[in-house]
Amino acid sequence: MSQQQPSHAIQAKVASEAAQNFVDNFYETLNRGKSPAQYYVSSSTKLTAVGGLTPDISVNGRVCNGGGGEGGSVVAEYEKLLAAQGTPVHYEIHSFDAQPLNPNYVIGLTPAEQQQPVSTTRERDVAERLSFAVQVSGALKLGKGEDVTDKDFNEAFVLVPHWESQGRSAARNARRYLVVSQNFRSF
Amino acid sequence: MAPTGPRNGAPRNSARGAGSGKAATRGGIAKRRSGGPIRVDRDGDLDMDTSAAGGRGKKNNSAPAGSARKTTRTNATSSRPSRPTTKASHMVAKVIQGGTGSLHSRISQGIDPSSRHTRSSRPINGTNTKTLIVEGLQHSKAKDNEGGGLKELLIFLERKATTAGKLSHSVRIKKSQLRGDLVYITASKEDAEHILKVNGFDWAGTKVHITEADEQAPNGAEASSLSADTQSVKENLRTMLAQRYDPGQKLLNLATLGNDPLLIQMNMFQESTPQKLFRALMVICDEQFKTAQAKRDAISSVTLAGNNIDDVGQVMTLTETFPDLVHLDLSNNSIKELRGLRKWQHRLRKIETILLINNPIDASNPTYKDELVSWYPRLQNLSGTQVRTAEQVAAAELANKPTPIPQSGPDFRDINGVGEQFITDFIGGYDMDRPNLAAKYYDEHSHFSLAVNTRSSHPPDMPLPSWGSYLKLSRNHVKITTTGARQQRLFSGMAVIQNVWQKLPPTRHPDLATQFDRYIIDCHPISGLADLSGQSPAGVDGMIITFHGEFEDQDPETKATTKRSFSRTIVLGPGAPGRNPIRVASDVLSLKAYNPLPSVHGTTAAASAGAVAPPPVVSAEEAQKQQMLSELCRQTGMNIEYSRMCLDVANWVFDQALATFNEKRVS
Repeated sequence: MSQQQPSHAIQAKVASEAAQNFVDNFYETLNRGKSPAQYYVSSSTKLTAVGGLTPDISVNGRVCNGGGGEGGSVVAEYEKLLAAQGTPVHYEIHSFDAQPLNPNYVIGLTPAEQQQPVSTTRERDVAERLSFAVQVSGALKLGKGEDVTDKDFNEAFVLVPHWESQGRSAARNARRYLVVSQNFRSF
Repeated sequence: MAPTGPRNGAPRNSARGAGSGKAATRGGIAKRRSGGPIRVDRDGDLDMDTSAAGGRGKKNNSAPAGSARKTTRTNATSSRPSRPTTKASHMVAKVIQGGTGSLHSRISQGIDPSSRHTRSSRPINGTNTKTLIVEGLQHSKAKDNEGGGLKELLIFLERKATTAGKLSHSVRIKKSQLRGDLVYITASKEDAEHILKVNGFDWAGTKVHITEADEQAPNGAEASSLSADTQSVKENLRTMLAQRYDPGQKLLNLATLGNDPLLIQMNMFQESTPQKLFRALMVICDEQFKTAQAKRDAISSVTLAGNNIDDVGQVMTLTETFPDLVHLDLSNNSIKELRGLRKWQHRLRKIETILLINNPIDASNPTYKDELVSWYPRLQNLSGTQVRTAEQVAAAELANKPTPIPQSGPDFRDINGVGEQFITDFIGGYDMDRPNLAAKYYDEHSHFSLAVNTRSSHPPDMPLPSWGSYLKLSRNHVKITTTGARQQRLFSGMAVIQNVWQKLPPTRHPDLATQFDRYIIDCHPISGLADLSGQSPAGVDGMIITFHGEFEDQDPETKATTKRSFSRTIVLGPGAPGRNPIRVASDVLSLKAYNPLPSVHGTTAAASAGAVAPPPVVSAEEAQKQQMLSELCRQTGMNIEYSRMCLDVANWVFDQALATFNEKRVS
């Protein structure tokens, strides 16, 4: 590492808080049957057009590829899989953990933006450049009442900064981090 | 002291004083009403009677006195060894005393009908209360007020007692009753003393005289006879229900209740409204069953035919008492419109038969049947017409039941066997030699943490494991919520990770090569990882592996072995210069009680399509390529993918690849 890194403590704090926010909201969205599209890098122009990213979503071993590349998006295919489950489906979070990955994540920034120095001690600045990994363990409840089927699940994510949520012109309520990688398994 | 007039104009139908600006200062009054609806409950009659009796009969232990509730209970237990049935008794009592007849009788008894208590009124604990008699209402100007001025009198007493006693709390009259010219009030012993001080005060053009009441309950005898009545009525209703129950058909026949000889003989329809009678019947029914299952087993059908029902609201409690009813006969009633059935639209979720033969709705609304069919997904027989088959119901339910996203084989999108080699190395090393494993793959920027999920499901025959040595280290964010604790439990840097791994119990994972079905391993490339060489400001590519499996660990002290399940996500990137070409950036371990993995490897199509099965056997050629790849990554700082491209171009001649790299870099 040529340049100074933020301390592990500050990275960990940012990652934990961001992961908490993500886990709280993401599963609430799924439990309400709403579209999770806003949580993925596909909702950021910078990350997709400049950074060339598409979310990588793998559900029980099946890789969402947008329905064979006929213009369908990865998230749309994921949503289709979710919808095919039927209702009601409820995610219950029993455990989750998060770790910082890259304290200087710059994919999606222009070269000029990448060069801009950022503080490695101010939490707000660290938060703007950090990518992190999250692993969630919980139960998936399918159906209700006496007919409920319980399945354990594990889900791993990598989240990266949502550039459009930063700065003065940022959209309010925009997600601060977006999912670039998601791996789901139910047991 | 002059009466304070303004309150005479206060709203009388709502709770006394509620909503007025002064309610807050007279917390006692507000409190008495709190917890229940402000609206005066017209069914609260008997509740008040019995509890009022309880308030006065505090010292008398003979049967007629004591709390009426208590009396009821005593009678109930002595006459019948079944469960105490206070609720039903009250319900029955309400039936007898309820409705307009009751109001009439109460007025004739001189009981002020406006002082009815809400459902939330609780009988007063007789030992801590005192009953006072207040004279003066009959001569006051307030007696012509609506409600006879009682409310105004009570407000006056509470207010004056509070101020006269210079009290910090508000005096509260818990109960009041108008009997002839006298007002009986009950308050706590302490408050009663203060109220007595108001004796002789001027109020509404007269003087109030307050004396302590006799210890003898003024209406204790009435209460007990009422209670006895209640018991006998209840017994009769129970008998009637028993006669109308057909255990063979699991049918409760409540048809044409108006012609029931027993009910007529009991004079029930003079004493009560049909709705109240029905409610009482339902409560008695409900009491016969200890569990919802017992109820389902005993009664699946109810007929309410011929009861002149025009709105199911009149028999609303049926669906509360029998929510799982399967067959319902509402024939020969007066239901004219869907509106009359609407209250049950979202109830009766198990209903299969509804008979509405000979109701006016047949003529007035020809499409109501379609509507009913859509309301009740299990409805098959509507007035004798089959509207669905059992198969259709079953198919619809199956279609509605959510199904999990199906399992596919491993999603193992490896890059040049890097993942394969790592996982083999890792699982073996973690069991056999953790310090060396950490030294090889972890560096000062690597992170490790573990989280215990204690709430996972597990096979019923397996005892729940103890998590002793793990819990101290568990970083489950659901449980560990403070920044400090979360930071303490994140292990960063090779030495720290080595240290914590030494603390974890020794493990034995199933052999990856021969017991591959005990694992599910997914992996795919990922971009934007930290570049420790400092040569790629935009970050480097790597791989994320999430694998699930099991291991057995051994408690260092007890030597007891425990099987556990785990999920582990490891992010791999290119190693720092001079170190192993592959490094672990992040290692997130999640532990839970042992539960075998689903079989995903049977799904052969996915498994054979580029997946890791059969177990990783790294060919000599591949191993050599791997070495070159690592070396090129190390020397050039390129990521794995670029290094591979470079080597591919150079036909895997290392020096040529390196030369190509240097050429490109210069240009």
